[in-house]
Amino acid sequence: MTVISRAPEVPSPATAVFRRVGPNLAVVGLVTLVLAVAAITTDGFFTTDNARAILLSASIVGVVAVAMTPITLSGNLVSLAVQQMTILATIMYLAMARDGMHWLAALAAVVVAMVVVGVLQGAVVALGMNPIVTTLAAGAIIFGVLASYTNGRAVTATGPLLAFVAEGSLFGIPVAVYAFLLFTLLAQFYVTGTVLGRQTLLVGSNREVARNSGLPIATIIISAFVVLALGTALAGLLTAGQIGQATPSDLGGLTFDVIAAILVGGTAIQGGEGSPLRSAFGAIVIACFNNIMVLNGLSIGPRLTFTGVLVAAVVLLLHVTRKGTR
Amino acid sequence: MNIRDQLLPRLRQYLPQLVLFGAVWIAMAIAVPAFTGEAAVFSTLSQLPLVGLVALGVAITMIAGELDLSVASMAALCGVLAIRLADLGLIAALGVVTVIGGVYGCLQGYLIARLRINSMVLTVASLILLQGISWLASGGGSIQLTQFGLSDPLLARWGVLSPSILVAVVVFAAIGVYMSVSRWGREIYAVGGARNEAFAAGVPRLRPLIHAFAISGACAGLAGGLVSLRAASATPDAFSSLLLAAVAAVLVGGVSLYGGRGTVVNVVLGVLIVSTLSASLAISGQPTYVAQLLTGLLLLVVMAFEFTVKRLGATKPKVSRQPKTLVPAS
Repeated sequence: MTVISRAPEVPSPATAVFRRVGPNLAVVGLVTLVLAVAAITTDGFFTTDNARAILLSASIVGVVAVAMTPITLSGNLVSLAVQQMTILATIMYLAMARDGMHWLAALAAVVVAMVVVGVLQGAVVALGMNPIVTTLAAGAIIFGVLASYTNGRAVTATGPLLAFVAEGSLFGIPVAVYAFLLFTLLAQFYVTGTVLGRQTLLVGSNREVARNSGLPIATIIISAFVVLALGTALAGLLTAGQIGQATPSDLGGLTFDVIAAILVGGTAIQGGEGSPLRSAFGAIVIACFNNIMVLNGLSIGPRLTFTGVLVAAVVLLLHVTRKGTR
Repeated sequence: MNIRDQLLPRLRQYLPQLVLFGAVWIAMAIAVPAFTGEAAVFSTLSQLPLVGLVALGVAITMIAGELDLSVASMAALCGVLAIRLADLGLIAALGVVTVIGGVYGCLQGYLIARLRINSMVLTVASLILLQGISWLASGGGSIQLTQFGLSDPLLARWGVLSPSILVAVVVFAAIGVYMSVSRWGREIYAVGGARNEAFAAGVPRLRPLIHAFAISGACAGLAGGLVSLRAASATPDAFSSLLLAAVAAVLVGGVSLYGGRGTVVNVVLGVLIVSTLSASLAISGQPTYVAQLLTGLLLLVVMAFEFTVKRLGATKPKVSRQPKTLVPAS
């Protein structure tokens, strides 16, 4: 994990424009290719029902991927605890709904608890500890606590908010999709429209310079972890609504699905470049890709293999095009 | 220089890990009365073939200044492949999966060194890809060995040793010699400690990383093969908590996350510490999540401790990317 800080360079305007556009073109090209293949080979891909299904299946991964993007942008790579955090929110909400707590109080309690968990991790990382190791350990601890709480049994509940999340829709579009879109817009505003968000990008692109310029690095990193905490709280609620019951080991592939979405979206893993919008895009691309494979009757083996190939291809393509324009 | 002058500084170098190992062993022996004698030693050593070998591979990539996150998927894939290839015979099946792991590792190392891509990004993509291939190879679920006799040699036990443990010990020794004595091993330390300086001094650009990732892939492949052939079955989504155990073992053992520092002895000590914890908890009948919880806590505590010590400037100054403190390095 050698982080080699690049020497400052002043690109010509043309290079600067191409560097912005080039990698995006590569990804857009690949996506167009995927969609074209889908249109030709798959019956029933371009229907409104299918579009709704794709957005719905992208919503949980999408919310978490969007929420994790500020951490990646700040140069702190990724969190390996997102599956555990999301399922923590799910089980907390289900347990409180089961015990008859008012939905608003339960929701508030989940949000507060997740923010506390996020601030704790963010504070440790802001001190300078490695984010991968910190979140790997935090994930193990959250899983252990959850497993000892549930004691191997699934937590089941129903309630007004859960029913609304699961079945509610407006203009035929499920609530989860609105939640995904709204959260993406808010996160995008956070990164591009607020001072803290803009500073996040600066810290990610050159930490030394950011520190020497007196940016509040600890606040920036902790805020990024709070955004992730809010995202996992929302994703947890959506999960609770959609499956109605949960065990600590549910959502097994979430962490790597989220990382895949961020990578396919084209956010640079070393920080400083990318946006929540792109991660949302990445999540939708992967959902489209999966949807096409399901429609073509592929089982989990080939689906995971092709997803892995897609992620590897996008990662290599982006890396090569970015380097080529440097 | 006589042997004592060489040994004493070595012992001091590993003192924190030795003390931690002793403390964990004594604490678990008191907390779990059944964790004594030969059974305790054997169950601790039994983790060497899986957690140990995988941790060894992760450690070598970490010493090279990179990190291989695909090891658990590689172990799962090679576990499935070993069962599929069982007709070749035990040794041949293990050999083939080790080579497959090594060749894939070579490819990863080549791409990382050639394109200078972040190793975590590429290995995360590998992680998903290899998971998919193991589902494909298994035909969509858990598979069993058809000739049960094949795994018999692996089930032998001599006191606290078993064939798998011996294989792991031999691999540890071989990699230990490779890293400390051979020129190629020194190159891995060089690119991990100060990459640009190493290249400027004439270390080849590709070889160290290709070697490091080949070792990591081969170790993971061998580990997966050994475990699944011994159990006579394999599942494509096995080893979900292996990455935690391996990374925890490597870091608790004292290998630096920032590259260039750490030895095979560090890895052995780290694996022993983490294995003592999980083996004693398993003997006491605790569910596996307790071991995961404690491993996570131990990892955090050890990292926080090292971090604090470093910040206080109590240790020797070394290359680090930690924030500068107002306390001058002594």
